[in-house]
Amino acid sequence: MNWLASDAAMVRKLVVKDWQVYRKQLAGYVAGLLFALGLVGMGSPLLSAAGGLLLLVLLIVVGTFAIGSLIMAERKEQTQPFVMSLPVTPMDVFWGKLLANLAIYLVPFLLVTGGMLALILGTPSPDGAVPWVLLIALFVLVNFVVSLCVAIAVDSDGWNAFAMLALMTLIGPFIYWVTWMDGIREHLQGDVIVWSPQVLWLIGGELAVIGIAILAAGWVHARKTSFL
Amino acid sequence: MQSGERIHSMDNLRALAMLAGVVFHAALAYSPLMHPIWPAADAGRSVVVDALAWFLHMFRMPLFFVVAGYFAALLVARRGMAGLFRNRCARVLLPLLLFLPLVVASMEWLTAHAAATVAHPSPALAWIRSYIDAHGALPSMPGWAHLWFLFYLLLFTVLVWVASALELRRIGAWIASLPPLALALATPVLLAPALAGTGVPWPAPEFFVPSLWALAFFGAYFALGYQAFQRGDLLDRLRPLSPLLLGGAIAAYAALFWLTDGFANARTASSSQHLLHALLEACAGFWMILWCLLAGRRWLDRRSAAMRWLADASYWTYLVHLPLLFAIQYRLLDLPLHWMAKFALSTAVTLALSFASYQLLVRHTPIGRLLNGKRAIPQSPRDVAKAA
Repeated sequence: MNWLASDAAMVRKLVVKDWQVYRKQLAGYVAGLLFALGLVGMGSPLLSAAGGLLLLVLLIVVGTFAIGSLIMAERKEQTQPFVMSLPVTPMDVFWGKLLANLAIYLVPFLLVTGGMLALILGTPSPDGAVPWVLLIALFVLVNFVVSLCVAIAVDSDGWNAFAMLALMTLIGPFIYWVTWMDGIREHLQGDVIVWSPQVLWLIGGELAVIGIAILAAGWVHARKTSFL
Repeated sequence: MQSGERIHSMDNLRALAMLAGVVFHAALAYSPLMHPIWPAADAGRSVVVDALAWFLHMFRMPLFFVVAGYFAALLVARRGMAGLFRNRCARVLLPLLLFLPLVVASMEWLTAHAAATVAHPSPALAWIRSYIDAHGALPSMPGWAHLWFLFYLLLFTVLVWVASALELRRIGAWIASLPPLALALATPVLLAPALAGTGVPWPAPEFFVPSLWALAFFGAYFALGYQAFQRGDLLDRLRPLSPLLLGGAIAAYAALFWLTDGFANARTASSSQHLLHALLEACAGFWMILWCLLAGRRWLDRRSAAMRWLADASYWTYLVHLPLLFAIQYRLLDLPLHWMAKFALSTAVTLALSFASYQLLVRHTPIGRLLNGKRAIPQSPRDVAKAA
């Protein structure tokens, strides 16, 4: 079983191809993110709350649409047979899809997460919320990576849609759960950033899920001797 | 004109817009409107300062964004989108990251020192003194200070890519192709809702999260500059309106100043009054900017060693002027001079120190190359536009 790509230059071309295909949608999302940040920057509580919610929604939607248009739609539109005609191995395609989607998603993700952390650290709002924001942002990233890996590994549209919806519905309960968790709740309104054991375990868990999802999807692809 | 040669009118307009910022910030110390909130506010103040300084405010920064949009289009035509991003990272992002901490730290140190030592503090300085006495430190005021325009320039660079990817060029081209009078009358109506989303006169969007009104307002001016490059005939078509634009701008500003009683009543205006004030602001600013662009073409579009030097020095001057100005104006607070003398003195000394430091410490050093780049190989922008 070979986990490595056979041709790094070809993987790069596949990443650039996906970037070009998704360029318009990404531009739309970047505009949407700036609009949402602009709402937050207007300063009124109502507009700030609307902007914050819009940021979260866009962050979820940008990932869902990337997976939908770069992986699932390609299967329907018969782009895969074209890719099969190229001198690439299944692992080249795996790394190409993984890196392209991660690159596309990490642009808005880092923009939003960095902006939220800067907002907390740079304003008089309590700095104790930093671990809470980081946990939620990482959870959204976990959702994206797991959805992506399922889409790469599983051909069924039904299972992919189920995985995405199931993961999305977990976001609300997760936010509620970490907000009331001991080791997080008592520090939320404080001025000190506390990396309690609960926070560190959760961050470790989230990173582990990301790693496991990538390894599992890679394992499925590495076992393939052909695309079919 | 040789390929790569500077576009003198735009270069000079940019320099004047930036240097006008020094005059504007110096005037704020003698503005009755800013007296309660400006740390360097002097006891001597005059409504004349408000009348003149806020008129300058209506078009100074928007004009800068028009010029920035023009040069962004020029960069895209010459070097492509990647070239624009590389240039903005080197000329805007890097200076912002380098100078913001220095500017903020020096202004905080100066303000803390003034709060402790000035015998006749401004209301804001007196409040800061009591705050430091109570909390042991200055109040936290996160933001971009007067370098906010660099942050917005970066955002507009991203939006250039967004507009290009979404193929929005046709919308700008359609607006730019409107008959001159329709363009001059319709644009302020489109700008007014953005200005209605903030105070009158519009404040500097210094908070480090972008404000929607500022994105829309300054973004529209940036787009105007972008279109001015792409449609070389835009300003030519507006030329017959030049006297009307100047007269209209002054009349709109005078009406605004009169209706708001020198901006004193602006905060208590009803919603409809606020919208009217925003419309008058938009008219005064937009018409004045168009007039400046036309005047720049007529009187500033020529090679001049002095203006070239000023254009090069203006970026550095704008970056460092506010700490220098505060240092001087804090010292002037306790001197028994007429406000006009203090205004003239603080402006002249700030400019002199900025220019001297530029010539001695910046122009021929890596900082000069960072801010202004290497000397370009001459190339005609019109040729580039044709090639594009």
